[in-house]
Amino acid sequence: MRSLKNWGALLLPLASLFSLTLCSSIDSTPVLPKDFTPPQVFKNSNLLRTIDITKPYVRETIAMVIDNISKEPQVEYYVPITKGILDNISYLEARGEDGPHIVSPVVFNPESEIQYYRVLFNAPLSAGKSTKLWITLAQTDCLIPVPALIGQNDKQFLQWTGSQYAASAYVTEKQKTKIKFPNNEVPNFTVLEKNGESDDPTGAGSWYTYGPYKTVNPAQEGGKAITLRFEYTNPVIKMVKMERHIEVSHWGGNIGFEERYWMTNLGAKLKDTFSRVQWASTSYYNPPTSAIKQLTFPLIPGAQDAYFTDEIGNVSTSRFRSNTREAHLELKPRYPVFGEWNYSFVVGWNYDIENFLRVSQDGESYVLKVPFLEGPKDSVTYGEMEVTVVLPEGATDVKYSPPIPLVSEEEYLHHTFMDTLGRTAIKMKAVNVVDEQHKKELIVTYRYPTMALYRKPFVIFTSILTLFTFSWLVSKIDLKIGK
Amino acid sequence: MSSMEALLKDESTRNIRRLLKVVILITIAGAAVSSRLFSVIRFESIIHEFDPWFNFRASKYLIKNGFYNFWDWFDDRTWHPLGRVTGGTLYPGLMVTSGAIYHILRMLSMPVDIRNICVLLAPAFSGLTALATYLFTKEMKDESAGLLAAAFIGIAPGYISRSVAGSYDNEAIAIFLLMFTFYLWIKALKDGSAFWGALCALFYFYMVAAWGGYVFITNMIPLHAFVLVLMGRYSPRLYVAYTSWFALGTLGSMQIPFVGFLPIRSSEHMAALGVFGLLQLVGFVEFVRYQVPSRQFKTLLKALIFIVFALSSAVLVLLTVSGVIAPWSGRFYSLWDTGYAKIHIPIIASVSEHQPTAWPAFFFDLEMLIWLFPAGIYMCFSTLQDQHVFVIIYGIMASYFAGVMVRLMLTLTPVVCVSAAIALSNILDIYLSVKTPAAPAVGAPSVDERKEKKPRVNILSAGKDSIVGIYSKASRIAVVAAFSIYLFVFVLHCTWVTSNAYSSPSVVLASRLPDGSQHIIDDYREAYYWLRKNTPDDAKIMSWWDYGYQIGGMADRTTLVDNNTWNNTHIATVGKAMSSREEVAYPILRQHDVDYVLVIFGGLLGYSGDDINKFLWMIRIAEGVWPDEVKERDFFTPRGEYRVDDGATDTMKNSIMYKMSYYNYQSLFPAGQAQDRVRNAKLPAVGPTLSILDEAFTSENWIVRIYKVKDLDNLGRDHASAAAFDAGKKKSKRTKAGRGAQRKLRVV
Repeated sequence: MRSLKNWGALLLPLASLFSLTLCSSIDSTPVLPKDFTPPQVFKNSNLLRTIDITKPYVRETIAMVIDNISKEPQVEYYVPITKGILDNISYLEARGEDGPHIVSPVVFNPESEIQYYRVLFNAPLSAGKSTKLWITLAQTDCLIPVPALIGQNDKQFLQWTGSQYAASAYVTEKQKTKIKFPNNEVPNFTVLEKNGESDDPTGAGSWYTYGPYKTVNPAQEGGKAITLRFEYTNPVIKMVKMERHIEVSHWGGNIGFEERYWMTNLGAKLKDTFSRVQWASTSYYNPPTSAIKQLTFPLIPGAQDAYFTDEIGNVSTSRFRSNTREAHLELKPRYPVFGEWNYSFVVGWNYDIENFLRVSQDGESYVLKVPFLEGPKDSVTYGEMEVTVVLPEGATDVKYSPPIPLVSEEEYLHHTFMDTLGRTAIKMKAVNVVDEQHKKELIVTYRYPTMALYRKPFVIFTSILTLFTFSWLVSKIDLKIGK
Repeated sequence: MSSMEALLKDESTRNIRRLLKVVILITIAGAAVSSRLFSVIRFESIIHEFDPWFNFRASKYLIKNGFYNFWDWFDDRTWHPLGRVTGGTLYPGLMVTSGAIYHILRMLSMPVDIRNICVLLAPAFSGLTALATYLFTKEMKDESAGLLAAAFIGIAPGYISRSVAGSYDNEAIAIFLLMFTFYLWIKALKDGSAFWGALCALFYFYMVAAWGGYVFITNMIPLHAFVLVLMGRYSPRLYVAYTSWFALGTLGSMQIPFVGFLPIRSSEHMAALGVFGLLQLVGFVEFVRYQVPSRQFKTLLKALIFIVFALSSAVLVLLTVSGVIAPWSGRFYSLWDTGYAKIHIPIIASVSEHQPTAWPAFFFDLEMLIWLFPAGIYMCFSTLQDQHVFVIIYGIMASYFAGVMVRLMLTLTPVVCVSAAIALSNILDIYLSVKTPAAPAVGAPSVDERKEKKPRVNILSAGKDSIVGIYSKASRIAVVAAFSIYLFVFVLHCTWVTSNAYSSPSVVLASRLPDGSQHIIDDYREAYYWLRKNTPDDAKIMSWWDYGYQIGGMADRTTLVDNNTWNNTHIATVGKAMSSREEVAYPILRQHDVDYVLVIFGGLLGYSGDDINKFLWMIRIAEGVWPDEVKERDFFTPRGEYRVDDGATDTMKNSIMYKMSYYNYQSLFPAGQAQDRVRNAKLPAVGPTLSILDEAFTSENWIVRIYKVKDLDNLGRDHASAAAFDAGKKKSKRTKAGRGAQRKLRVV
């Protein structure tokens, strides 16, 4: 939405391609000198870090009160990230009291162990003032199964390694870290020196707390490493690759979705080989298992014609429940997917276009609003993700606003059934996406002249007419040699 | 009534009749296509059975890599470690056809998936077959017979059995090509036209490219020509038609690498060459006789011809004996002697479709056509023109072959449809005619009437004139009504047979749940997909050859043997491994780089087509190569029973096939209650143990079981003692400890 609002008026006359290039120039990452260190203009007077490891990825929320200790108003706040985990960061978002802030990674010395994200305040923070800031980030691929090999019916444990202190580029006066586990089963956790009188960590059940700690300098970095090992009763589902294909058809009054998944289970591997006897005998009790048995796709009510196939055909073990209030696509892979096993599949469904498309008053401009990502209810992470939106043939002036950061985007022509020119399509690629982004929406606006609507019937009519005329002419030619 | 007559005969209604004909033909093609779609509707758009999976894989290869790479395709993912020169050992017609359709549709910007093209190719071509049969029958009698024949071939189960949607096999297009080539031959023969002869050769070439059964045409056309010459019906028309077909067709057929020089070097093709030579001689004689009217000279010529013919036959025999011309191949011997294959080539005999046909199969596949068939042949005799001779010969030959081999029912079906249509159309012509014939004079019909009819003077049609007409309406109605009922029943029968017998993909099995809903048993694909996704890309899978193509197509992994069966020894090796003890099998597995072994086991579900039931063939084929090491007798109890329960022989119980099938199976049941539902046997309470293999995957209903071959033991022990050690048993004295941590393969 942001991009549309800001430059919509400015760019309307320009072709959509230009808007894309401009888009990247405004959002472009700040380039800073190689020896950059954030100026010490802030102090975190209070900080609460919450680490949520209930899902196959780690979600970290840092809530803090920051004071501007410099003499001038400040707009830039830097968040340090260790280089090693930079590639695992799915997203990093910041929000202040006045709503979300723009966050962008900083480009400077690529050799530096610490890299930064820059948070840009909506309004400068005056000298001496303080404000609240929330930073949320998600990190994928950082939970490893320990032990790496388990029996088919054994419990699965995951291990997470993190730091004692929240990473900050500024002095933090007071802080603590709370950790949320998926359940009460936490067999191993790092016990630190007693913090004053109380134990560190404290807490029990599914919540543990490290801290509170007094004044921590940025030089101390994370402090001591903490390692937590906890039971994880669900499979660690990762979609190594996912392609989502959205096709809009004005003629059919239909919007078709097709998703291709390359799925793997990052959980613990089987110690021995798979035993069908054991699997069959335990599946009666439906115990928690580290294998992927089933995936449920909650779709928007109104979904129709759902299908579930893979590279060798239809998978009969699926169920589609659809009524006016809900639509659930329940998939069972052909076989239970244990640790480090793979499975790839395709799902697809259709919707009536009416609920997703609005036409403007001139009758030729359209606004399409679709979920950027749907996907299973089960917690998943995505490695590479590609979303393609195919608009009708002849659509022009395409503008869109992706709800999540992309690594690349392109506009191209997609050739499919009886197209002459090819359909306008946009392809967006993202990496390290987590299931929190599932319900975010993608808005695409485009112009689709009425003439373009009649292109296809006209082309078909003309070609058939040509064919008949041609065959009539041929039948009139007399090739006989002798009379 | 007269308006009806006018519609059918008048010149003014020619266009209406033509339109009607086109509509009827389109409807017939529609019926032919739709009756083949049962499996798509009931299951899905899936490739069926075994061979189609190879054709499908080859088509995908063709589309991906282009024609020239396809031509040069050396496939290292089958017949490991030998590989297969696939491009040179297949009939490319089918793949090229679907590839061409694929590219044409692409060009028209219709991106249809290649799988759907392959699945629907056979039904689409059956529509064309109906058209070709119409044209062929039209040449025999008239258009109405043609339409009837088209309708018959459209729904006859004998042809549907090989052309349902998904049965993407060579026969799918071959029957169309067969009928069309025959039509063009008849056309060429009737007109004496080199143009039609060349067209015939063109389609003959297509047929050669498409199916090994082209040899049927290669022998049918010469036989027809030969019989015509013997009947004294040699004509310049025959000469032109045959020579243009033979010259162009033979050159064309030699373009297919798999055929190559066979047309001049193998016995199967010699008949065509011989008749070609004979026609030259006869043509020469005719020419000379025309020029020289001397009686003596003619006698001399006749003698000359006889000598030349005898000499060339002798040369042929000599060449065959000396080996320049390949003798008849085994498959052809098995056509003459049904017991031949069982003794000499067990691999051919092991295929159920190569068994002799049971009598009920004729009725099952052709229903009422089978009793109309002789009547049609009789009608052909009664108007014995050149083209009718063809139908008669075709009928006789095809009947014989269909009796010898079940799958050749396919070549019989078209001629049965044609001659049944001729018979039925004759009956309808007579009984549907509304005109009452003028009452003849008492006694024989008048001489004038006879003259009008201009009957061909022929001994065989001598009785023809006794049919003079049907007078009573009742008899007309009775006969027409009876035949209408027969036709209805025929349609019902065809639909029933198609739906029940011929529409199962066999990759997917269907069963019924207690509430009547369909439950799909998808074990094959479950296991194949597991292999595809969770084994290394270059893993080698050993299984019986039946599953080779499916593993190649669905699991996309390297196999040792497949349905191509070009190397009997290699298949026997697999058979030997399956039927041997673990110590014997292990070196074989290692030497062939086998990573996984796949067996089919139906004991839990009562699925009878499993490997234990096929096991005897594996043993027989292995015994054919290693008679000292594998003996069929050892697998039977002293009383000659083939048992898997407590009474099974030790050889049986120790074979890895037995062990792999029943490994861990008893733990599904209460102690001592393990039951094999296919063989209705109670299994031993203690299940077999495996030391050289690990169970890797077993499908939901246990139909497919996959085992991983263990690596060599790290301490250099053999697997049995390693397993015994792991189980905590005392080390056997014979294996010396500390022989070094050398991993070595012990060949027993």
